[in-house]
Amino acid sequence: MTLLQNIITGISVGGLYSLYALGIAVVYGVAGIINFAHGYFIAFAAYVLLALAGVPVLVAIVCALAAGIAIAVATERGVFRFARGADPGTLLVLAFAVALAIKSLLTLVAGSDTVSTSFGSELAKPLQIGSLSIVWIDLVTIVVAGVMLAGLALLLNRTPVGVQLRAAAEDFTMARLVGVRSNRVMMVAFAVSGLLAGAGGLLLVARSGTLTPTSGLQPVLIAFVAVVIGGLGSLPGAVAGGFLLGGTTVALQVLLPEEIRPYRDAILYTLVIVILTFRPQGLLPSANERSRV
Amino acid sequence: MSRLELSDLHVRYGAVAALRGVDLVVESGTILALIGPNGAGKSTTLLAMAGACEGKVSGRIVFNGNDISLHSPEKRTRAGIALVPEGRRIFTKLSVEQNLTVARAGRADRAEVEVEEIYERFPVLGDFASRQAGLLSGGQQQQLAIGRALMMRPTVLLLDEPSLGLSPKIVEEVFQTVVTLRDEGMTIVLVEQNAKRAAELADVTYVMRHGKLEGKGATAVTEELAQAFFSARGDERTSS
Ligand SMILES: Nc1ncnc2c1ncn2[C@@H]1O[C@H](COP(=O)(O)OP(=O)(O)OP(=O)(O)O)[C@@H](O)[C@H]1O
Ligand SMILES: [Mg+2]
Repeated sequence: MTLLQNIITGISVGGLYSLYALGIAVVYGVAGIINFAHGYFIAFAAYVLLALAGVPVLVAIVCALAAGIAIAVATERGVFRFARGADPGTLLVLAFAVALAIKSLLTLVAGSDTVSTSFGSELAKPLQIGSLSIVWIDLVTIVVAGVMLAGLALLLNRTPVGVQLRAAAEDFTMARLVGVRSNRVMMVAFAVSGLLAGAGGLLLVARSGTLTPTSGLQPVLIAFVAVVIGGLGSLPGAVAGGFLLGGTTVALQVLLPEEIRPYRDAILYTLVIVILTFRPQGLLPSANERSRV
Repeated sequence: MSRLELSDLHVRYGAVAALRGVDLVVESGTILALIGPNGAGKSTTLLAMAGACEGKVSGRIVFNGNDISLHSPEKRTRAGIALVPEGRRIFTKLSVEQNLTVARAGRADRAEVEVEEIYERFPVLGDFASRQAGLLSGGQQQQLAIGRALMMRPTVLLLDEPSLGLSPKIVEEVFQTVVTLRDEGMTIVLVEQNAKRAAELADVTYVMRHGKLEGKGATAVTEELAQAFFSARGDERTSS
């Protein structure tokens, strides 16, 4: 039964990583921005959750998700909108600037010390089904990731704004030429990434029980790697990359002998380098990349 | 009515002057053909009309009496100008039907344009409605690109080399569609490598060279054809 348990953990970590990766991919796809600030969107949402200790937990969760959306949309409207069409280097520098700004804000308000929370602590208990023992948080993560992925798939495939977003991701100028409003589609892309950041932030604190302003850095690095493995600009690729990375992490954790286990990440990223050596375009690259006006 | 007028249009791509003072009037309900060698500035002219030119544009573009020079592409689309760009640029990852429905965004009146109308004109699109657009053949993709533009119910249709890469039979079908649309009252600007055929279809033909309009009408076209013939540009694209 440990195999099944490990598979469940692998799916759960993979699901979490794919939420991180999608948040990066959806903005990159539409706006061409490698949004380093995404990690701080995650932290921001998590801090809002902690700040609301005492209010009913569902309300706090909804507020945290809304905070993720709000900070992402505010970043688009307040910063990136004025740099639309700028070269990738400029956009990257801007993303770093936004990241630093949010980090400073969080440090100013909440301090740089690690804060701990009881949010999600009851989810650390295992659920016993026969000889199978599954930690609740793994199940919750799988459900949350599943709902988010399914919801996003529905949005992108079945709603007019979702189809507009995919069109804009493939060829932004052409999308405008069929009437897609660039401001609106940008806002939707950032809102989606903010929602994903919010969900990721909640799961992050629920899993770790602690938070610092830089808690989002590890997730955003994971997201970059997953997105590159999956194929930059491809949303299905980001999901696949997230699951591959999460699944492999758990597999290495389980399979590696005790004395090698500390080198898990070194081995993991060596594998990443090997993959990208043989498939530099990623596993599921997007069909074409057109310039944006 | 849908009169489009360019005056003293200049476009620069960095150091390259792609258009150097173009004056042009497209009369309502006519086909205007724009022909000329590679790099003459034909695509640049259409992109500038549609508001999607990457270069630096100066000069005036007046549509139905309004100066639209500074309008965004989405605004011009809603005003009634639709571009079928060079290379078609269909959304390869969307389904055929989604390629059509996404263009509803370009309707001024928000009314539902039924995809059925497009399927009537191009039955093959109806047959493949749920297929991923990138899997269509070149001719089908061209029909989709035109159908997508028609979803916006434009009054002016800008077509950039619609015959490129298509078999002669399909090319003739595309040209027939262009004539039909004109007969239905649409205003059309047709850029073509296939100069002879374009000049036959068009109500008026201009020759463009080095970013300027060099001549108008039958004589200019004949000269252009003669030159093309004798200088043997070796342009594989004219043969399609
Ligand atoms: N995006 C761009 N960036 C830089 N230069 C460009 C760009 N687009 C076009 N040019 C240049 O502008 C000039 C005119 O190009 P344009 O595409 O308008 O010509 P064309 O008449 O459509 O040619 P073709 O028959 O090959 O399609 C050419 O010298 C071309 O190299
Ligand atoms: Mg051209």
